[in-house]
This record gives sequence, structure tokens and C-alpha cells, in this order.
Amino acid sequence: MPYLEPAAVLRRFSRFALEEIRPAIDGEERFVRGQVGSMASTLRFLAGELDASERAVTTQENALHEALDGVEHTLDDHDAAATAVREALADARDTLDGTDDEAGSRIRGTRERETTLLEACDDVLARVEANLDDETARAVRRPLYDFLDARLDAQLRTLGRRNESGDGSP
Amino acid sequence: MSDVTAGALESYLTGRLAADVSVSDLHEHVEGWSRDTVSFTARWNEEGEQRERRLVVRAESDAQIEGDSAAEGNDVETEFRTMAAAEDTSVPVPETYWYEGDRSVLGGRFFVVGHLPGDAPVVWDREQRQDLYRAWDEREANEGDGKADGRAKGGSENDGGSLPSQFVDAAAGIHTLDAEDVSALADCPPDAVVERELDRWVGRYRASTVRPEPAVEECIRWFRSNPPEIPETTLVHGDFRIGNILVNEGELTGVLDWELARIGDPLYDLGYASTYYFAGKLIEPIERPELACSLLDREWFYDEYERRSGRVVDRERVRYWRAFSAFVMMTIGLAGVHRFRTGETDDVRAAWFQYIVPGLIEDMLAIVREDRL
Repeated sequence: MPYLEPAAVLRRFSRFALEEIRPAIDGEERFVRGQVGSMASTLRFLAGELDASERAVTTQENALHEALDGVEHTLDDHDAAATAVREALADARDTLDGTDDEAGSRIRGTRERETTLLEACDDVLARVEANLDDETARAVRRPLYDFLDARLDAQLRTLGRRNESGDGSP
Repeated sequence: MSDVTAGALESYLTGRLAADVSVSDLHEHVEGWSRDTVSFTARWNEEGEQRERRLVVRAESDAQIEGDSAAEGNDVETEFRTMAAAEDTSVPVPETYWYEGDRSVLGGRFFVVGHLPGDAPVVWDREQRQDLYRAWDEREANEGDGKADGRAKGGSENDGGSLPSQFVDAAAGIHTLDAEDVSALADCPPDAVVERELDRWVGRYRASTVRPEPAVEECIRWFRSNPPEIPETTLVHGDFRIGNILVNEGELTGVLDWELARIGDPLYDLGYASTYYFAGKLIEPIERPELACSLLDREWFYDEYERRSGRVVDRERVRYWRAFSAFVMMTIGLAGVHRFRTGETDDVRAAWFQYIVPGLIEDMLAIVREDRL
């Protein structure tokens, strides 16, 4: 195992690229200067991803659990049989159970866990579209959109967002 | 990078102008992605008189020469022919001179156009964004004084005027051309426009997908189930935003980068220019989300476009294209990520482009959810 904390190394490289390498490049070499600038900010983002990826995926897992519960309650409230959607819910829960037990977490990396969550959510959303009437579909989508929002929020915070609003306004 | 050197240009232009041409002051424009763009000064003697002209060469990039990486845009000849057609409008475009299809000349196909003064504003630069905000605020203040856009110079009431006003004129001017005027572009009947756009961009997205993204799939389902009705088609710039417009001392001097031009719904350009991304949003929300391209109030933009073009601006259609434009930009970004991932390019910007994706999904989803929930 390496000794240095990976995110800290990336941040140091980012700072060095921005503060030392970039100014040392001849002003005429705009393309190379631009490349070094992009490299520096990519390194900084990567450091943030390393710091936050495990935490972000756990947050998304919890959000999807809540979303699936919400979908089930909504279906019950609407007295909807919705067999295909309920099957997708069961499949999604099986998938989550495979990712959040200790053995599953060890076997699967963070990235693979996240991919599994995304596939599970998409499967439920697609079944909602294909199988429910318009009014029920709207209600059932709401908790699933909460999951999509939670994912976007986690991604944007990982990339450094500090402001609260997501509608483009500060 | 194609071989755009002074010597190669001198040799080419000497043949074109039938005179000894010298080339100097080469300047590589690195802002763009898809083409290699170099400006230069050409000097030659014509009938005893010394001539000098600043020109621009736009050549295929290495990726375009080697493979299918031009898939997001038109080939270089089509771009040239489109610009030539646009010269017949009121829209300021660089004067078109020559297209060259022989790759042995500069290493890639290219065209030569006149150089126009000015710089394309970068909305992701906070200071430049502030300049654009000021242009709008000054227009607003002048409107209060009754002199915002009516400073006619012997032409229409829209001649001259503020930068926001010139931006509207540029959009309306582009849309005065139809398929017959731009024979280089494939015609498309109005009722086939949406399907063509979906097939093209969803196909590109599928080819570039790195991992599943349920929010994007949700948006695609919405795009497919809510196609707007398109009553007419015109020339569409396809990448209409302040970053593709030259501004010199507050005046719009040229509309550039026509490689995404097509025959389509003119309101596409309005939706595209209205995305938060092209107003400077990356990760953080922008300061003035009401301004399209950080330059002009959206509703004013649509109202003025209506007045000047005589075309009704269906807000729902603009909203659809605005969401779809975020999808297009996201797909272009992901295509770059895909090229980096497969080793097709080492350009650091291609890897960096993954970071624009969450912000764009957020904007798409904000529009889609209004109908879906």
C-alpha cells in the first residue's frame, strides 16, 4: 500500500501544475497552458471524488432504499396492482441487499455499487412509464426523482458545489 | 494538428492569387475543439499595388482526418458552403474565399475566410460574464432613456443598437434562410425534425455512454413522448451562443463556428442559447439565471425575436429545445470522455468534460420534472 493519502497527493499536483508549471509556459503556447489548466482542475476534482465517493454512494444507497419504499406506499395508496412495477421493486431490493451487506461491499467496489444502484432505479422508472396510468405514474415517480436529486446533489457537492439552489440561481 | 505553416500557406495562396504571396503573424486559435483554426496576414503585389489581408484558415483536426470523430458536426466543406450562404443575409459572417479538398496541401481539408475583429466572450470566466451583464444593464438603462435599440443608421430600426439587440438580429437573420438557400445541407420536412434530432443525438449518447444514468434515460423518455409540432424549417446555426460570436468594442462583428448547422426548427437556436450552461453554469449556480448567454433577458429575447422575425415563439417548444440542448451538450461532452477513455485522444479537456455532466443533467431534469410529476 502507498503511504501518502491519494487525494492529498492529487491536490498537491494540482496546485503545482497551476502555480508553478502553468506560469512557466511561454505566453505564446496558449494551447499547452490551457491543457495544464485543465489538468490542474481535473486533478482537483479527482481528489474531491476520492474523498467523497464512498460517502456519496452510501448516501445514494440510502436514498434509493427510501425511494423504493415510497414507490411501494404510493402504489398501495393508489390501490394499483402494477405487477411489473412491483417486480422491478423486488428486483431492486434484491440488488440493494447484495450491495449493502458487508460481504457485498467487500466484493464490489464503490463504482460497481453505484452502477448497480443506477441500473436498479432506471429499471423501475422504465416500468413506471410502460405500465402505469398517467396519474399513478406521476405520483410514483416522485420518490424516484428524490433519488435522482440526491444523486445529483452528491455529484455536484463532490465537484465542489457550495450553494444550495439547483435551479441555476445562487 | 494539421500542417498549417507559413510556407504551406504561401505556396497555396500563391497559386490561388497568381501572385507571390508572403505569410506572417500566424496565430493559432485554441479555443475551439473540432477544427484547427489559424489566423495570419497575407501580403502580395497586385497590379503594382501592395495588398495585405488578415485571413483565417480552418482545417480538419487530426481526429477528423483519421476517423469518424466529426460525427457531432458537419464536414469542413459543408461548413464552408453554409457560411457562404449566410453571407447573403444581414448576419455578419467572415467573408468566404476558398475551400480546398486536397489533404496534401495542409494535411487536412480546409477553407480560408476573412478575419474579423473581436473576441468571443467566455461565459465561464467570471469577469467576462460581468461584462455581458453590464451590456444588458446598460441596454436596460438606455431603454429608460429611450435610446436602447433605436439608434438607426439609415437602416431598419434595429440597426446598430446594443449588443443584446444585435444578438437577436443575428438569430433572426440566420433564420431568414431555408433549405433551398443552403444546398449543402440536407433538407428535412418539419414533421421529421424532432425524430431526426432524437435519432442522431440519442444514438451518439448510446455510443458514448460510460455508465447508466437513470435521470438521462428519464429525459430521453420525455423527449420521445413529448415531441413539439414544428410548423416550418429554416437554416439553424446549431451552436448559437455568445461564445461563437465575435464582439469588438461592444459591437457584434461576426457569427462563427457553423459546423453544427442544419435545416431544422428555428426555435432550436433560441432554446440552445437559453441553457444555463451557455450562461456560464458549470458546478455552481449562475448569478443571473434570467439572462440567456449572460447577455439578454430570456423573455425579452423571445419577444424581440418575435417582433423582428414575424415568427411566433412558442414557449413550450423553446422549453423542449432548451432541455434537449442540455442533452446535446452533455452528449458532446461524453463523446469527448469516450474518446479519452478509448485512447483516441490525449487532450486533457476531453477527460475534463465529464465534470459538466451533472450540472447539465440537473438542468434537463428541472424542465422534465415540470411535466412528469
